[in-house]
Amino acid sequence: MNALLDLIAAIGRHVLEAARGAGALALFAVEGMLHAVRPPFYWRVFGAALMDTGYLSLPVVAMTALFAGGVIALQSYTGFAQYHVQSAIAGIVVLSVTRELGPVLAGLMVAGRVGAAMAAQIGTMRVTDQIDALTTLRTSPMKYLVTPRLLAGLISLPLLVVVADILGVAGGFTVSVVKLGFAPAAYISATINAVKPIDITVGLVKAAVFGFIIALMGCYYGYSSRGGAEGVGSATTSAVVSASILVLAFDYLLTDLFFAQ
Amino acid sequence: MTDAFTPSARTPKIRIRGLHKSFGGKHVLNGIDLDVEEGTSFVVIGGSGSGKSVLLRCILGLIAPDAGTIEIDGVNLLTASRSKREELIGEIGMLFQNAALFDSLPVWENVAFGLLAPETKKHNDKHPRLTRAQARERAGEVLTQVGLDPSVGALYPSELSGGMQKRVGLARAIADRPDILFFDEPTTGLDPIMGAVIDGLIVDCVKKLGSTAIAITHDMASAQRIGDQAAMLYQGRLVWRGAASCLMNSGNAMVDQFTHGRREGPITMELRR
Repeated sequence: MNALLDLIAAIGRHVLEAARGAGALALFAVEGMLHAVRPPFYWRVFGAALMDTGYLSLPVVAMTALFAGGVIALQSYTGFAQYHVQSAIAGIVVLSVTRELGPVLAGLMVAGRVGAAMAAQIGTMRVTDQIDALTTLRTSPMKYLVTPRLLAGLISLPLLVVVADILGVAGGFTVSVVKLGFAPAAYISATINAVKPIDITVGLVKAAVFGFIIALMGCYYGYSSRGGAEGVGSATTSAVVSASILVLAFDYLLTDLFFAQ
Repeated sequence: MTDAFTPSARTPKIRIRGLHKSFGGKHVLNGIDLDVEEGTSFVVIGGSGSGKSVLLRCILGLIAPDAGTIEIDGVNLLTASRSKREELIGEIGMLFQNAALFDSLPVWENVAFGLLAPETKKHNDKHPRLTRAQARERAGEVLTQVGLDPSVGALYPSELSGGMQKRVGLARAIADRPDILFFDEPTTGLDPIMGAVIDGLIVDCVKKLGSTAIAITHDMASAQRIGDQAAMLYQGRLVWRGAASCLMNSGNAMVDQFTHGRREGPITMELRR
């Protein structure tokens, strides 16, 4: 009986802890975004965050999208050839890339690169008193450190996904034309016929949500880190893992919302 | 000598009454009463974990106390409006134990950070609104004041030695000419000569600005160089106060044990096993 009560108590503690964490995260996000509509604004910090999240992530996102597009073309061909529907490959590539692979792969790459960097940077600032120093210098740490990064994530990921969409389709086109022998004009025509504005729009909406989630998790875990190098390391891991899981979870939810009908 | 706790006719620059703070059931501050008169350099000594840093952080608003009052110029920070609290805390310059320089910014931007902060208090003659060029010029002046060449402004904190980082931290603390200066273990991690140099700079800066200063330290030489008055914190209480010059022969058994580094005495060290 006691063992059962202990088990229930332990489950209860974890549930309460999870609820407390979710509440703290929600308040952190709301406070971060409220600062976005209340001056002053740190344009330089925002510019640097935009550069780091967007521009410097371009190579890794571009390469990932390029190869992913090529792989889809190859894999689709292998399967579709059995049913003589190879002509559908162009549509499969463009829809896969714009709806799913572009935003998801870009999100996961940026989570690994930028989410980790945000958590490590802010976490180090926390454990070396730099965040306290900001406060003593009449600067809100949330406004200075968190808000610019949240906005940078929100804005830069859709821009990255535009590039990822183009290069993903280009990867599929290259493999299809060079390796599989498709006629370039026919492939392009099939691609244009297959894709609709809603496919691209939803991909970009997903990207904005993912960008916000990645920045939020990086900032939240960094800001909450304690206990020196070990705490910063733990915050970095938590930021990347939670951002990656949330990207996939929200991908499902948004897909269900927009395409389930 | 003036007893730091004797009520005076003038309102003290900083007045603390009944300050309590606990962390998870551990009483770190256990009813602190303290007056610091304007223009005084006050040193708080005490062992590691005695609550010295928590005391400073409570005054700075970085930690919320459980009970008590903290007044600056007669205004209770804990009940004041947010803008008033920010205005009063904005008059405090702080040198952190490890300097806490922003490693992503060059030295001059570290020094000028408070001058350029857009959230800064209302600009006036004492705190004029500065352009980046003017702030950089001011940073150069302050760097010179702490014995560094203005060209150091172009370097990043990681390129500086520990002593230079402390100087830059001091420059950042005084750049906006604050009314109050806090020093958290200003000589920790420095060799004795560099420690003396930093102490000398602190004394010079405090005198030049006419500021009220609170320093926390467990370096006795530093405490006597910096302080006019001193107090000892032990187990969250102030157990002695007097002139800093009396630290080495205070007549208080706890202070004597601490300042002379004796193992035997009324102070017992808590060891975690």
